[in-house]
Amino acid sequence: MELFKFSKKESRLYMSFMYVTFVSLLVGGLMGLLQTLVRSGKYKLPFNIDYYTILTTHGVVLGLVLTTFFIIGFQFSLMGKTVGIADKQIMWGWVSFWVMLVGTVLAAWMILTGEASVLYTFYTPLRAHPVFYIGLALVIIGSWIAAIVNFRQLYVWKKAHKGEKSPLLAFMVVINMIMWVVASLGVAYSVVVLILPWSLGYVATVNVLLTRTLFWYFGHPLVYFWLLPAYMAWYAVLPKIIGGKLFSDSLARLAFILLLMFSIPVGFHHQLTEPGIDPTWKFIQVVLTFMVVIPSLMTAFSLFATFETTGRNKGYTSLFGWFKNLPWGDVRFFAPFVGMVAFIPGGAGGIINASHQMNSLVHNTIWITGHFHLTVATTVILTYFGIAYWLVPHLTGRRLTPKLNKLGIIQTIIWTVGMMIMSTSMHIQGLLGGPRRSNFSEYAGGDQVATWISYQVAQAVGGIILFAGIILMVYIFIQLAFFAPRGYEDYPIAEEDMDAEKTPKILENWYLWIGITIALILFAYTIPMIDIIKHSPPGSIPFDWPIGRS
Amino acid sequence: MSKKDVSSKKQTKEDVNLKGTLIMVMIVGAAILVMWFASYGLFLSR
Repeated sequence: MELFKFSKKESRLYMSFMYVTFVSLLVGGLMGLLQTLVRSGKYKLPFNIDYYTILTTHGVVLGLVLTTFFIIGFQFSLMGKTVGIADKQIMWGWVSFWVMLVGTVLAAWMILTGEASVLYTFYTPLRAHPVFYIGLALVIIGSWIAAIVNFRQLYVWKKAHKGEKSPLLAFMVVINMIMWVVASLGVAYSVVVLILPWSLGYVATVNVLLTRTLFWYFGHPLVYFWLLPAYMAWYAVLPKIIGGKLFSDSLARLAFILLLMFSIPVGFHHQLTEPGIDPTWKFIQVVLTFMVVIPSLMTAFSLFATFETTGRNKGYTSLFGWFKNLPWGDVRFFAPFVGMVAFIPGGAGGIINASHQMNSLVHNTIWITGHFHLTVATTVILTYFGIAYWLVPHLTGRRLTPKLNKLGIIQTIIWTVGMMIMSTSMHIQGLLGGPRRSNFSEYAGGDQVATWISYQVAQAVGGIILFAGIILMVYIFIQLAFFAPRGYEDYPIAEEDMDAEKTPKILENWYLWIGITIALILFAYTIPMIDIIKHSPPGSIPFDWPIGRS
Repeated sequence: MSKKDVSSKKQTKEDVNLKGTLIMVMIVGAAILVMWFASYGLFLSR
C-alpha cells in the first residue's frame, strides 16, 4: 500500500500556520512568565513596561492568535487528508493565512506600543487605538475565509460521493467552523459597527453592556472552538495511535452536534454578576450551559470505552489490564491523555463557575485564571502538542525519533508539574478572594491580602517551570520542522470497525442542526438583547487614561 | 503482566466488556460532585 503524503503545496500551507503557532507560544509564554514574576512581588518590569501591556499580550497572543492559527492549520490538514483540497482552495487558504497574519501584526504592534492595554476581552469604555480593532477584525475575517474553504471542500466531496456519509473528521471540522462563524458574527458586529467608529471619534458614546454581551456571545463558544479540535484528536486520532478502532461514529457525531447547539446560547454565565440583564434570562442560559455536560460526559465515556475495547481486543482480560498497557511511552498518546485528565478538575471547575450562587464565590478572582489554565492551557494545549508531534514531521517529511519522543514525554511531565503548582495555587488564592487581572499590590496591608502573597510566589514557581516547558517544546518543534532525520511519519486516523452499526442519516441533516442552533440562540438572546438596547443607561464616552494613553 | 492476564480472544460486539469504563466514568462523576459540593459548602459557610 502506498503511504499517504500531502503535496508540497499543501504541506507548505499547513506548516505556515504551525510556524505562527509556535512563535506565539514563545512570545505569549514569556509574557506569562513575566506576569507571574511581577505578581510575586519580587520583580519589577524593566524599561517602564506596563504590567497590563504584557497581560494583554499574553491573553491575545495565546488565547486568540496561537489557538486560531493552530486550529485552522490543523483543520485544513484534516480536510486535505479526508476530503481533499483543490489548488484554488489552497490559494484561498493562503489568503486566509495572510489576512489573519496581517491582522495579528497590526494588533500586536498596538499592544506592544502600549496603545491597546485593554486585555483580550477589550471591554469598553476602555479605548484602544483603532488599528487594534482593525487588526482583530482582520483575524476574524481571515478565519471566515478558512471556514468558507472548509465548507466548500466538504460540499465538493459530497457532490462526488452522493449518498455516502461524510468522513467523520471533515464533519467535525465543519461543525467547529459553523460554530465559529455563528459566534464570531457577534463580536465582529461589536468591533466593526459599535467599537471601531467610537474609537475613531465618529460616534460619541458606546453601549457598554451591549459590547460586553456581544463579546461573551462569542467568548464562550470561543472556548469550544479551542476544545473541539482536541476532541477531534481524542475521538478519531488517538484510537489509531493506541492500535484500536473508532468506538462509535454516531456517538462522536452526536456529541459534536450537541456541542454546536449548546455552546453558543450560554454567554450570560460569564455575566452572572452583570447588572442590567434580567435574572430570568441568566437562569435560562445557565440551564443551557449545563446541557454541555451531556456531550462532555459522552466524550469521557467514549474515550474510556475506546481504551478498554482496544486493550481487551489485544487480550488484556483483567479489570484494569487494558489501562496499565496503554502506550504510556508514546508522546502522541501521553500528552493528550494528560490533557484529558486535567479536564476532570477543569470541567468540574467550569460547573462551579456556571452555578449562579457559587459564581459569586469565584467571580473575577484568580480561581477563574486557574480554571482556564487547566482547560485551555493544559487540556487543549497538551492535545495540540500531542498532535504537533506527528503532524509537523508528517508535513516536513521527517520523523519523530525515539529521542524526540522522550523529550516530548519530559516536556509533558514538566508542563504537568508546573501547571499543577500554578493552577492549584490560583484556585486556592481565588477562594481566598485574590483578584484576577491585577498588578502586584499589597492593598495598603490588609490582613486578607497577606494570605495571598505565598500563593502568588507559588504561581511564579509554576510559571518558571512552565516556561522551561515552553522552551523545550519550541526546541522539539524546531527539530521536527528542520533537523530531525528525513523519513515518514504516519498521519494517524482511526477507522471504523467492520461490523460497526450504520450511522443514522439524520446526524448529517445540516438544516436541522443549524436550524435548532439558531432557534436556541434566538430564544436565549432576543428578549434580553431588546432589553439591553432599549433600557441601557446612556452610553459611555471613551476612556484612554486608565490604560496609559493620553 | 502475568500470562493469565493476556488472552488472544477478540471481543465481539455482544460480549464487549466495559466494566473498567463504568468504574472510570463513576470516578470522573464522583470527582465532579466532590468538587461541586465542597465549593457549595464553602459558599454556605460564608
